[in-house]
Amino acid sequence: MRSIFYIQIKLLSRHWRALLALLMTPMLVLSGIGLICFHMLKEENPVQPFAVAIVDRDGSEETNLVIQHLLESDHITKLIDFQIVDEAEANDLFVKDEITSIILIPEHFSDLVRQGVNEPVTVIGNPNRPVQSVLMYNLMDSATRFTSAAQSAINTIYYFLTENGVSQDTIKENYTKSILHFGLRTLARGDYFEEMELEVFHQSHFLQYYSSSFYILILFVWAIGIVLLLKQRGSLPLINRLYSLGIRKGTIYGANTIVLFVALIIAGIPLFLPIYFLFDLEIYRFFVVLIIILSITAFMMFLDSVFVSEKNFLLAGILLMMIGAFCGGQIIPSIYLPEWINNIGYLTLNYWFLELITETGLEGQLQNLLCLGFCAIAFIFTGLLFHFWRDRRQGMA
Amino acid sequence: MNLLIEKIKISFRHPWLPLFYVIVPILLAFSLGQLYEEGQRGLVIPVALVDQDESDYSRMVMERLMEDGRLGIEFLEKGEAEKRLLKNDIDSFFLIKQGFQEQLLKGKREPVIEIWTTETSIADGIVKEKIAAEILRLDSNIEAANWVVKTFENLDLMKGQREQVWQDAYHFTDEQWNPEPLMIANFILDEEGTKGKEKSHLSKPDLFFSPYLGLWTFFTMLTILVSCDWIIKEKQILFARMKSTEKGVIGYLFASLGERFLVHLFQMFLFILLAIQHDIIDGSFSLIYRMVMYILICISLGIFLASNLNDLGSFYVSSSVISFIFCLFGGSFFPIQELYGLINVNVFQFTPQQWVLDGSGKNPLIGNTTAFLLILTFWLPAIRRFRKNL
Repeated sequence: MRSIFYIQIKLLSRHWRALLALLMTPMLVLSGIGLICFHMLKEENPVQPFAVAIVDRDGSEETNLVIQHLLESDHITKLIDFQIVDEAEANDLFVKDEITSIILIPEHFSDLVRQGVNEPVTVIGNPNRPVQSVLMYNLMDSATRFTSAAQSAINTIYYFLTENGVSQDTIKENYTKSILHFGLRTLARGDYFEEMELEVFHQSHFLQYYSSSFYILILFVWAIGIVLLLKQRGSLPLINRLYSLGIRKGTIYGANTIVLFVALIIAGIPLFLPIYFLFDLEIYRFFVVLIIILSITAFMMFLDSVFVSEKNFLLAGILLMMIGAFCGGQIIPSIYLPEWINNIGYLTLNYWFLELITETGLEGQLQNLLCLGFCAIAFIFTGLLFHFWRDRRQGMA
Repeated sequence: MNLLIEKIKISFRHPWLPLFYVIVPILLAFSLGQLYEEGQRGLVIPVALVDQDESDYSRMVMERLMEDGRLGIEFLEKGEAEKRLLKNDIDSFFLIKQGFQEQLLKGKREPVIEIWTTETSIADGIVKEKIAAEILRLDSNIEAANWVVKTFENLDLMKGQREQVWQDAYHFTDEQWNPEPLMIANFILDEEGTKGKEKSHLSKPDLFFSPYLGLWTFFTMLTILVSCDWIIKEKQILFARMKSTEKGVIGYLFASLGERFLVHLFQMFLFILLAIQHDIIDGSFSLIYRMVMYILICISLGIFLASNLNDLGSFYVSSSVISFIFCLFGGSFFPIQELYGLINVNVFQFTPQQWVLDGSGKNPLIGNTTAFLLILTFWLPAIRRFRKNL
């Protein structure tokens, strides 16, 4: 067993270039992403506001009110740069992909609204920019409600005064005043709210969440790569010779498991150090990482024993990793995901790993840890049995 | 040519491997795409509401918020809500303070709602605007009624009961929300701007990122790269022998690749057919052309890798790492081009993935030149290596 272990290590070291690339690239990619994020955080106004064109076919006082809502709210203008243009220019900008959407206010819009006719405002989104379009959608959804509220009040005043035979001058005066009054009330809607922030100690904030998530993904990628390097058909003659010496597949499998485990520890623990120091984690997290590495080792070795061909192993590994990353809440935190996806997520290793790294308190986790460790060992033995079974079948044949 | 036909005949006789290369990308792109899309559709914002006022108004606001399908709302006591927020079970919670209805009726703009957040809250802004809309609706009813009553009193028009006029005005204002609010917005996704709006009147916007084509680019690149593994297997033994034949190594290479190219092309057309049937892509000529070019680029990359690596393990590892990185920065998994727009860095706009996914609006010359350049830079060194080594 020990000599096989050395052979496999040697085999791995023969591909030191591939191994180095495997270890380094994910880290380089991450530093690239980190650099982009850093760049975004460093600047005063990190997000460039995206441009939206307003085409006002109506041009009345009320539509001006709507436009004012959009132009004067601080938190909107930080995000969106509104341009009031005519239709031809808007289309031109739109086709050139320079604006995210066009807000089109139809002709006679305010007259129709006053008569109670629902003439919708049209928002044309750019299909190439889905995220910004969703933002625009939410924004306009609120804006139409604010306007509806203000407009309904203005209509009521107009109606009641007209019905009761008030002079035209008074009606006009009240009308103008009411537009201003309700417009201002809409703009001051923030007054209704009081913002409170809960202090959280050792709370997993976003940076920690995503770095832990990336850390787990890197471990998965490494494990898949190392298993691929160990699977080598190139070493087939060597392995055949070993078989003829009476060494069985199960032994090689066991040696591979140990090589993978050791390699992941050598590469994975140092990578955990920055996370450990940056977020001031407890020392027992290293034990958690150890169990995680053991589980990944077990899982990958099990896959390895199920999928004999490298190609199938590669595809199965990547597929399971992607499903796990999405359903296990590594990309979007699981509280935002719908229930049924979370149910799939509970079946993935990714979910439990993330939970173990980011959750606070050891008490609740001890059970999970023990369970994971136990499962990992069980998985390794199942894989081992699988191989001995194959050995015996081959022996009989 | 004969060699190509021979190769195709062989692949018909042993259809499992080509079939594998056809089925895997399509199956994975569709199944993962389905998961991804459903997940996006079902995204909810988990928030809690705490009602300390327990008045008609606060109940009304809460009921109206419940109608919004995008919010996953729970009604909790304050202590419970705090606990859940600390455990990160909810994004944020909103507390309707005691005296909510009273303050509104007085027309005061006092803080009546507390927004409780933590560092991790992200959706409180959206929910805040939704609640603000409901409060403004109530406020407008009240303010309009007050206004009418006040003006009537000033002009001495108050005929009946003061309370009656107030109620009438209040309900008249509120009635304007039925059956639909006064102002509504239509959302349309269209590439042409205002000109195309008549033809596609969508009442409900479909504003989700469609992941299918992106996932297709990923799995296609992965399978194409992996499918070049025969070069590594045959390089040592067969290529040397091929050199002595009339066709030579390059002829053999072209014939074998031609067969693989047809397999991937078949895969692509099958995908396009299915995708058009499910209304995922438009199937325009330009898109099909870009997809064909994408396959060519991937094959060239595969040759390049295979010419430089000598063992299967390294080849598989580099193939998967390369396709993953290309696709990540090329926007196969999420619309990364928007992010580049935000930070003014778009060095990756030349990745073939982005050309396929986002090429419609851009100058076709740039994409084509990049594509040809990429193919050449992969092919030339690869061929030189094959010639020299043997």
